[in-house]
Amino acid sequence: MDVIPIPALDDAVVLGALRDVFDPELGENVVDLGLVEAIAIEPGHLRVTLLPTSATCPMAELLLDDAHEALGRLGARYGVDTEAVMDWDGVWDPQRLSPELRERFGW
Amino acid sequence: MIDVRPGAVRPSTRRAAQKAAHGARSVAGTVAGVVAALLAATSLVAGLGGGLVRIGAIGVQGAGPAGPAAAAWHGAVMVCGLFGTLIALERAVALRRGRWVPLVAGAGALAAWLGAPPQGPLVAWVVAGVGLVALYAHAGRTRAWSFHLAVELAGAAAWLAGTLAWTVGSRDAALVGWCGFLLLTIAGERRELTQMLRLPRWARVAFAGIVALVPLAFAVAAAGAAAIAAWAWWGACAGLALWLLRFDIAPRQWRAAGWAGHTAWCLIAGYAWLLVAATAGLMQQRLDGVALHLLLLGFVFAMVFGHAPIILPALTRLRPRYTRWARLPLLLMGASLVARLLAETGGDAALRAAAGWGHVAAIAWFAATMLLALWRARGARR
Repeated sequence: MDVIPIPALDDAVVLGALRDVFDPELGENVVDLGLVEAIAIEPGHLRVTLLPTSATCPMAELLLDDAHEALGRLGARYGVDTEAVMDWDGVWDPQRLSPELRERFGW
Repeated sequence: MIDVRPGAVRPSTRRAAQKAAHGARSVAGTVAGVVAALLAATSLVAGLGGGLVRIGAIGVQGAGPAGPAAAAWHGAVMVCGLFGTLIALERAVALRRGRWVPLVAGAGALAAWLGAPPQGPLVAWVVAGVGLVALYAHAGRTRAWSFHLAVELAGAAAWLAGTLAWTVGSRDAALVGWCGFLLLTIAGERRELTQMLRLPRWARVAFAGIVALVPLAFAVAAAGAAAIAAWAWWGACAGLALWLLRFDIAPRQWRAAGWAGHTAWCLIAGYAWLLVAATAGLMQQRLDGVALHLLLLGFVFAMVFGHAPIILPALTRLRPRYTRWARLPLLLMGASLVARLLAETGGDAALRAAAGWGHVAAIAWFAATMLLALWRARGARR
């Protein structure tokens, strides 16, 4: 019987999991919106840093909850602890949008 | 000998202590949030009661403990009590600090409703206004400044200025300040999302010019030139309505599924009502009257209807289950506003009272729809 190997845990796999996390007002995922600032994969630990679009973003905790849940599923599959944090010092920029969204939003 | 320096505490002990402290703060924050939400609900009941008295739908005895004063406090309780509490609560939750700000704003409305001397509510709203300005300043200082944050901070300052104007008897300036609080807060929030879009330079400049009209209108109103203030104020409203209809992200999202589509529909309707209100205001050349209610009920409550399904999860961690029926109260509000407009222009007292009941029914219907949607969400993933 062929065994389908699990792909190695890398940025692409993490981004794939985060595509299930949506901004509730825009209905777009955090990856395409450019809200994923950093992914740190270490032995036994995965940490994702998100960027808010505003210093008083009321959705931040909600996005973190959803990201934590999506990463938790990934962590269970790969046997790693996961963590999602918000970088409140960072500034979001439209250049971070995916090419598809940039085109849709007129950039 | 045990080393008691912080750095010498075993990590597990330090983590446990941090967790306990965080847990205590979390419980205190949750309690404060629940109390603030109850105060906002009380403000809504008190404000609507006062509104029904003013519109002639009920007698003064139906407006709560304050009786006749409830009618006089109607606008102040709606803006400072209901919206002041809700906006401050939203910011305090996002910043994880300053939960006393919505509590003070809500306590002011409760004091007004219970018939306290006028100084009580006004002092509370001045303190809450200062607190909200401080929350925005804290966000900018510790997180990141942005143009849209500055616009929202200007909104909080307008709230404070409006309350101070009310205390010295400058009614027109108070109206501009309080309504400017709502207009600038909404404008700042929408400008945050339009960062996503590529806007022409003239649109960005026009937006700045529109929001700058609000402090200008306040200054002119404070100087006693009410007619010029009305031009500046309703001009700002007209400009913002056109700007949002042309550049906001909502008109591009109306086909979206679920709550995202609901929000877009509510926002587009709200922008249309803002334009109607501004047109009425420019025609009547005064700050108050029917135009003011088209603004507050048509525009501001459409924003509430639109954002409630996405803000409630942030405040309660419960996700209301989507229902397309949540758009119907928006239609009832629209119908009741048309009735209000006809009643005000035709002088029909019975229709005016019926319109008032229509406004209340739309708000109550929407609140019940949201509560039901939250109830159905029990047990769903957080």
